[in-house]
Amino acid sequence: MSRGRVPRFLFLLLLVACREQRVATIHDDLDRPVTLPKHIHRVITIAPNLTEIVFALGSGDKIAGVDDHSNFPAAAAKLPKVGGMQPNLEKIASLKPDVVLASSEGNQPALGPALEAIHIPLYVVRTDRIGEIPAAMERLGALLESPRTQAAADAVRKSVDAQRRNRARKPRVLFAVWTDPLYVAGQNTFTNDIFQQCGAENVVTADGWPQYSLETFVAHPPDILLYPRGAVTPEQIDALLARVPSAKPRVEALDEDVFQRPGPRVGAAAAALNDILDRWERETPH
Amino acid sequence: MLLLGAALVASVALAIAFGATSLFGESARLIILQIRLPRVLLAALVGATLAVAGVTFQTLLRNPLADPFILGVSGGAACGAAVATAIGLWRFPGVVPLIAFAGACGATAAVFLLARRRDHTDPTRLLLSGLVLNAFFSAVILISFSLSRQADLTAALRWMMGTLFGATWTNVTLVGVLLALAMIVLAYVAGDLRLLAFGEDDAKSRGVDVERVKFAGFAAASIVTGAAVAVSGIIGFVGLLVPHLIRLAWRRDFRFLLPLCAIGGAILLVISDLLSRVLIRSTELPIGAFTAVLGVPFFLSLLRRSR
Repeated sequence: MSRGRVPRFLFLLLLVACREQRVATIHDDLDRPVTLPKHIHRVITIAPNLTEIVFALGSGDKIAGVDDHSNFPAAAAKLPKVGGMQPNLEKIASLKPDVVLASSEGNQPALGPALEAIHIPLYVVRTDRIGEIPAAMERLGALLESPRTQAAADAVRKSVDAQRRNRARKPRVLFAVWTDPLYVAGQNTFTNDIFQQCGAENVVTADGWPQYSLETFVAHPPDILLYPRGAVTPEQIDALLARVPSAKPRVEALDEDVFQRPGPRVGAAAAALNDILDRWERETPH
Repeated sequence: MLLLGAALVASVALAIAFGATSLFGESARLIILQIRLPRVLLAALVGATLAVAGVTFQTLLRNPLADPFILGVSGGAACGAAVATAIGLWRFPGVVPLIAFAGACGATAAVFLLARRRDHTDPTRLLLSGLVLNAFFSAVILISFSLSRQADLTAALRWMMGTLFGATWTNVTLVGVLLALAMIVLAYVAGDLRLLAFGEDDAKSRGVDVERVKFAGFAAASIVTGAAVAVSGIIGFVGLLVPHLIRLAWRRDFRFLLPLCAIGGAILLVISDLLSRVLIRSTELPIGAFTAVLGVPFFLSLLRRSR
């Protein structure tokens, strides 16, 4: 062994030792143990709401890649894409992230073990409900040592609180995510949380995203029929309403991205809905 | 047959009486006439169609396992619908069912042509080409699913689970007319089909134009199945279950089997749809699950008794 090689070997050993020291095992929001380096420099976010959160925390520069649906903020759209429903493992590996961030809603059970096999930790974040967003932002901010953690989380809390309404006349709303068959937003969903915040009443009594019968639609007609712009077309809504001629709800389209992503723009979603509800209150006689 | 007819009337009455809302509400008239009645009638028609198609295919192929699913008719429809949904054609109302119908007819033609050799259609080859085409359709469906957006994917999956949500008077008329035409054609060849059930050579020696009967039966059953699948998605087990039930319980002669199966299939689907609508309040369950849950125990008990 030449003399030059020994110090280099020792140096490498030292480097490995240092890295080992800087590793910590924590639990993610699904209570899975995740072993992470102390300082995270590169992350991949595979849910559009997490991409928005990391940018809001001021750590957008740490994002090495995003999923295909991450389109906000504008800077996110230019980042390398790692796939949609089925992220591409090779692409993820090639971007050499310290951690991959997934949301509990879109998480796939097979992804964790697959990433583990190539020594990339997966951290799952729970943001399924409106109240979970600021806390999730604080946890992520601590993880990424983000500069704006507290300010960003407080801003979300404030913007959501600002949209709380107590309406004397509660507008009954129905959010149709699909029209044939009719699928709607039910109780205990992120979307229903926004309804409650804005003082609207969801006509749907079932939990989750149930299929909804036309008979119930006619029997309990909503004042306002909401639908995600782009995901459902006005023609589909017209076809649906043609089948329930006695129900004459006001029809309003919502920005799908803002309304169905539990992220930092939740206040903006609530504000948009409040605008719609206020207009309904003004323009509909008692 | 009288007994079954009475049972059909009873189940239709039951299905109209019960639903998500009461019979005597404010908008009861509208609910019954525009929503519930077409839905119950469509259930009856689709059930009758699937059972008639099942018994026709089983007789034609002289194989107890033949049904619209195994022969690729439903697979073709599903494939058409899945691809149409994945490329965003759902944006135009009515296009997806139309493509599903085209898929069913295309699959039927393909299966029939693949099985044909020197002016002869071999039942085994027919079944085999159906199976192989089904595998191909599944592959195309999987590919289009993985290329779909989450929302489109959910839409396509729901369609594949089968639902009578889309029932309108237009659909009822469409399937009703096609089923009536198919029944006329099948009744016309019923005598020949009965002879065919004893074997092709036997039938030929008695002067049956075997190839023509096969083509007529196959085409009639497939076209009406295509229409049924296009308006209701994929509802399993009816085509397999009902004919065997009827055969085990009553008659094996095709001329009687045909109307009995139509009535039996209608009853099974009307009751299944009723359960899918009312069992859990405020939501609807997949109807295909009920056809199996209701039919399988009944079928198994008959099978044990018939030994």
